[in-house]
Amino acid sequence: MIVPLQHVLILASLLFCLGLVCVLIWRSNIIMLLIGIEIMLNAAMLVFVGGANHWGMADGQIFALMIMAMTSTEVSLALAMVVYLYRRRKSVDVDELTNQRPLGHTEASTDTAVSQQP
Amino acid sequence: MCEDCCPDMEQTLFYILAAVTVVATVFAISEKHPVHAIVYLVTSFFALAALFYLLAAPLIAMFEVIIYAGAIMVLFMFVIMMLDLGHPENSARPGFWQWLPALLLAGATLVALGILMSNRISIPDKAAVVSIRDVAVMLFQKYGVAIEIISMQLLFAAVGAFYLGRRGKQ
Amino acid sequence: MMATDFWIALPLLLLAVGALVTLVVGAISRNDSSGYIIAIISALGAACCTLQAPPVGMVSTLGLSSTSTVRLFTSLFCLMAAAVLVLSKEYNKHGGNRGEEYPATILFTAFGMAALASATSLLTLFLGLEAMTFGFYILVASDLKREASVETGLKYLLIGALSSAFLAFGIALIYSVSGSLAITQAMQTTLAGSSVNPVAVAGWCFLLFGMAFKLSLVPAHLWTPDVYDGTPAPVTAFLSGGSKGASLLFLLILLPQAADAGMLRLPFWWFALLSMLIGNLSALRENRIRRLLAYSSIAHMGYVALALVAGSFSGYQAAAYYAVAYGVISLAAFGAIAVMERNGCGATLDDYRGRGARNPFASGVLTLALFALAGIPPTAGFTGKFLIFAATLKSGEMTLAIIGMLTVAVSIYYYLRVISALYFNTSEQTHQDQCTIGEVVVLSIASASVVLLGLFPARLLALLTFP
Repeated sequence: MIVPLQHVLILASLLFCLGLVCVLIWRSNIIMLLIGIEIMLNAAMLVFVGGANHWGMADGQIFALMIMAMTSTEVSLALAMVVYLYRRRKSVDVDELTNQRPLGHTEASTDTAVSQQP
Repeated sequence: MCEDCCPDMEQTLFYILAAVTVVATVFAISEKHPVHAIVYLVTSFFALAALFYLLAAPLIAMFEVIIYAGAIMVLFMFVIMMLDLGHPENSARPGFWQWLPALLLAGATLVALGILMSNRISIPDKAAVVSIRDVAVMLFQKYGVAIEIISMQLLFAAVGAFYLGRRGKQ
Repeated sequence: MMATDFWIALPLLLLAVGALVTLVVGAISRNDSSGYIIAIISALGAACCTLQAPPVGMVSTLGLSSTSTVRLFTSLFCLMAAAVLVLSKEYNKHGGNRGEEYPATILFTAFGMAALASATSLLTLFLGLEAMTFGFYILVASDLKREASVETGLKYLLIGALSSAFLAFGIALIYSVSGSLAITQAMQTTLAGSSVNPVAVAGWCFLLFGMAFKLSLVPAHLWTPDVYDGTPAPVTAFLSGGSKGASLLFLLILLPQAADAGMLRLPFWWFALLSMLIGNLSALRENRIRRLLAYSSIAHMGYVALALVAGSFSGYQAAAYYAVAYGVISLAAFGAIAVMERNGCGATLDDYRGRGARNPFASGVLTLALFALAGIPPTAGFTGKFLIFAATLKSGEMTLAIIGMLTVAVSIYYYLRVISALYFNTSEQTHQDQCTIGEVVVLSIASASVVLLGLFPARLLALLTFP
């Protein structure tokens, strides 16, 4: 181990917090939101790789590999949904999703959700 | 790793790369233009891949470059180009009042983590080198089920994307 | 050795192969129902496989366990998938939502749940949870005719990805302390009472926050009403019953392995208090039935967190019982809502006025499910709440238990509001709604289980064993 595990963990928590800041400040922009989540997952991968190096076991590297595969599936599906919505809406703003309500607003919405069922 | 160079140099390299990663990430998240943000992020991921290499995980380092910096970021870029989102002039940059709670929250998290992590160094330090062979053997023997789960998930990512993308079959 | 491996992995194999066959058959045949039939058969087959006890409890080569708890939950998830498939067949045909991807994705989701249930390493556990959540992203967005459905799917995906980032970081910190991904070893090292490493404390904070998103416990609950509202009704049944059940199972696999889980008492205490209060109070002023049930689910997860505060064997058993009971109850409730919506019922309470006369069967099932959620004997909801409060009182959390009981009493009001809307307002039109045989069978089995689980909990509790 070239540096103490502590330093790797501190670097990873810095990255994780940067990702969190990105998610919190770009709440309305889906692309930037996804980028923030990517940064957070990379921080997790760094901890796994550092841990694997520290303990001399391959488990952590395998977990990091799986995180990579998992995020690629999530990103591809998210972007497929963004493209679908953009074709109909011409907007990728989270605030404009679901009847112009930001994430988590609780007031009763208009009836678009279910009443379009035949 | 890197037996021919001295450990001091590796250590220095680690801190330089760590600084590059953090600075590039800071630029990426404060950038208004999504294309620029992604270029900064690719820089950050390259530095992170080099860190993985220094931490004796050459396989993960390669995959970081190929999958993250290569595939996922290009996918982002592709969607930005296709949907023509490269004109952020009409969308507002988040103001100070949007930054403040985020920074406070993240700062509190960071301070808490720093206190938790720095007050005691009790983790035993044993050095061992993990070869790619070890990774491969463990991946396909001990975690065979995990491979099956993730491959099903990759398949269904394709299924889901096709499903959302289809037109006309309705 | 090979035969044992095969036997333990058989439910997983059946679900995975079933999903693949459904996709292939759907691509060949033009008829949608063949896909549904294959999917239902493989889900039921997987459920049958779990009934037979395998020769050994765990195989080290695959890293899959097969205890009685695991088999109970696996068969529950498979049966729930089969029930949701039966309900969806008619619902989707009516809504014009075609394609073999839907039944295949339901099977894939059940596959993720079953993988989670039988996991013995943190990696399989995490990937199982992620596979299940990923299936739900597709299912929530499956109604391509309505933009709202895809929007809800995207919203759910963003929240889910955020929570999995927290979860992954938490597991990473736990791994960096324990040096092993094996659940037993990781839990023994990181939850070892007073002498625990600070990094492990940080890891558990992140892990619990990630799980709070998945379970919609209160600081992370805001997505729940929107997602429940914008999703096709059969998927909501699966989401509410299955996903919550599997996420609870995630915690129930980890926590009983701990040497001393006293450290987690405090976060669960706050989760329980806030979820019970905010969930029930928000439901009081809600006029859309699905949002009402979403808030009620937040409250119910609060009750389960109450059982986890106890941290004892009886607490874990009560939480597991409640996970099963809540799964069956929400299948009945949302199944009945799916039947009514297919017959043109709207989303607000006003639309449900007089439905008791128009659709006596579905209204009856919904009423029974609401009674169960309110905790009225002899239903499973009552027995579950009884077990939870008994475990909490035994562990000495008097204040929290009393607050919990008061919120249960408050919750009866809004459940009765729905029931009164169903029966005490006669509408002018008296035309009868149609139910298919499949829907009648599924809803009858679900209602019978709600009552039977409540009357005879001993058989189920005997199966729920924790180390």
